[in-house]
Amino acid sequence: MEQEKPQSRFRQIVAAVMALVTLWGTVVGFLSADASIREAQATRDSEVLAIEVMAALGEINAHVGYDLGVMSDWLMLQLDGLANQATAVALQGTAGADLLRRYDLEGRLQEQVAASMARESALLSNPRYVHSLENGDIDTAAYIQDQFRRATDLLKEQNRASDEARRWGDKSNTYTSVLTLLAVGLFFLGLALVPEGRIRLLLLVLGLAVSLIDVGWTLALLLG
Amino acid sequence: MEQRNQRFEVVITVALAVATLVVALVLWRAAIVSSAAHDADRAAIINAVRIRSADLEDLTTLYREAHYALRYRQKEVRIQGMVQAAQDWRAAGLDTPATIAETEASWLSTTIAAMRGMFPIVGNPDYRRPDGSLDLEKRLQEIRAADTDRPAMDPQPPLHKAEEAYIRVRRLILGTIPLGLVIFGYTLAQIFSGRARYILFGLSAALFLAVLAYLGLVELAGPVL
Repeated sequence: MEQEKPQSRFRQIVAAVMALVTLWGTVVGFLSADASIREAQATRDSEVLAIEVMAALGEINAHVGYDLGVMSDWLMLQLDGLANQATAVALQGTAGADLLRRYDLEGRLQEQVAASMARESALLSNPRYVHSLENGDIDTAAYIQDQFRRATDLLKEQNRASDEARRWGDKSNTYTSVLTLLAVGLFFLGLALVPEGRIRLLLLVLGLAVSLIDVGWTLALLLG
Repeated sequence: MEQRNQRFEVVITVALAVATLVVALVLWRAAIVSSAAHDADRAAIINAVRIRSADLEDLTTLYREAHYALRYRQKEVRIQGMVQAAQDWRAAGLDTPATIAETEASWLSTTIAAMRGMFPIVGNPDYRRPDGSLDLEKRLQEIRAADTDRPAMDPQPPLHKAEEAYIRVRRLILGTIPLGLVIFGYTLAQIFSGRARYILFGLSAALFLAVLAYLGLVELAGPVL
């Protein structure tokens, strides 16, 4: 029992250093766990945001499809109305009055229907995009840009979260390396307790050096 | 005296073993809570997928209904225009074209009446804004409200659960640092002799008890995971 205890001054010092290095190990362990948690959180956020981006693109597709559909209907009605009214004018003097009235009415009805459609689409009713409906001066580029704004913002956010996840992942991996190096330091210190003579001093110095490098590495990671 | 020292060293050794065991238990518990946090994260992601696909499905439904509502609106405007033209022609003594327009308007009214039952938004003035356009937001809210599965798809509750679990993992692992200090103190108590070792042991034991109380609080404060 007596022989198993680290009685010598040297052994006492080594044991104290080992306990101190172990204490440092708990600090690194906490930092590693914290980095790992932050990586998991950022990865999850990045995945949720990727889903949001896809959903936003799907919504844009639905909105734009509807607005363009209404615009297409509106345009066709305008063209048909114009054609009918032009036909009525062109047939004056050659066709019967009833037929001319019919063409004229059809043309006017199509214009009215087209006018009622215009307010159903942002592309035809929002003054931001419609400069002149009569001249067909519609800023479709601004409309598309506005529609995609949310998806673009979400994509930027997603990229940020993804970068964050990578950064914390790298940090977490490095802390694992720091802990491994710490174990090497502890191994040398533990080994220093066994032999007698100068070799134990060498092992103590090695253990201390590795532990100090480890502390420096951790501090660099923390500040970096 | 020597016997007393030996007894005390046994006490320190046991205290060291207990502190180490507590570290192991804390790490085991942190691993379990961390696993629960990952599960909650996964649930949040699955819910995000479910709710966003439900959103898209609802939007598709809305625009499908809006398509029919617009077709109905076109026919309505056409009927109003025909009735107006018929009135104008009759006033001008043009009975034949007026009768034709009235007849067409009448039959068109009869046929589009069949569209009204297709969807709530079709031909329903409740879904018109003051400017006469379709109130698609109102209909979308109704479609979403009708989806009774929606509350279960909310990703926020599992996200909140995951965050709570991550906080608890951090707090648990934070507890291992003072436990490391306790082990350090016990080790020094084993090395030193005289009064110093008793003081070191006492301080370390007090810190150990404080850490135990802290860990108990951490476990009691959060929900059971």
